[in-house]
Amino acid sequence: MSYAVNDILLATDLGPGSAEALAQGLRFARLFGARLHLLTVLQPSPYTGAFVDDMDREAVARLRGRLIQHTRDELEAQVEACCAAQADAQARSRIASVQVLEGGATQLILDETARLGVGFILLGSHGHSAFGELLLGSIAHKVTVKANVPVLLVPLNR
Amino acid sequence: MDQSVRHILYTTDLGPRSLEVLRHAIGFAQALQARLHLVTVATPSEHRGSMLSVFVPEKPVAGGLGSERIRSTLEGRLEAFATANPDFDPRTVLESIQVLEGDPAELILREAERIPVDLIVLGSHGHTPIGEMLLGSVAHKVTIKARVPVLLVPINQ
Repeated sequence: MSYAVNDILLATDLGPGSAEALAQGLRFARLFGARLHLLTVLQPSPYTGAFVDDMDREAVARLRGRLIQHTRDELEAQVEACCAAQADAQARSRIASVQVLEGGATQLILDETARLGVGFILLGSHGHSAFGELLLGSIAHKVTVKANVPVLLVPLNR
Repeated sequence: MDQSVRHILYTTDLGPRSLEVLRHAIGFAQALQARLHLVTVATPSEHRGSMLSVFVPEKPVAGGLGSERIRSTLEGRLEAFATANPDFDPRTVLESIQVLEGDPAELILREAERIPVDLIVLGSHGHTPIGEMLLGSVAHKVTIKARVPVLLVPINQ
């Protein structure tokens, strides 16, 4: 049986360099003829913790919903802009799903990896910290040591 | 940006489970129609014991016997791998084998620029004394300094 990658999961934070990460995701999706799944994870907001009992639950739910929707809108705007800039006319059709979830990033990335059965996970890597010390993002580090599929780290802003 | 991946650097320490990394390296090369450059770096301590260096000049031991032994071990493994995995025959994609000596991360990064390659493949193994999983120091250094994507293959499951 030959080697095939049918699905790739790109976890993106919408931060600086995320457009480059998305371009790399589209590049590898095209090279493998694979579907690209996008995932942005929001840190649990303080409203979901201990404070929730003191607040109007409906208001909390509305806030969370708006935050997720806002992030999804941003992500989708970036997807459209990035796909439009690609020479690859099929770029947009390679993106099979766009998800915004709230929770622990490492676990959610690993859960989606298993659920989607992806061939590999693609993450952006910033390399050096502001102080020039060696640094790999903590989420990238945790995902890499816990994943049971390969992780493709693409350098951003270097 | 040139979108294709033409050359891949695959590095192995020949450690346990490194064949799983090889399978992905060959798979990527086949799927992307790229050529594979195998680089193994021997750290001096691997074949230059402190006692030995007292009696034998360093260079001939390190550059001669040591690297030849490593190269033949590598070639033997590739052959065994091809026999066991006919769909992943390294010979279909292998462009070069290099055995180098020195600081692994530095040499891997140097070769990646020299060839030059579009992708680096390596294993992500390593763990702390209490068994907590950790990214190997070579993998970590290569990952944060490389200017091309790095595929880290888990070998510590």
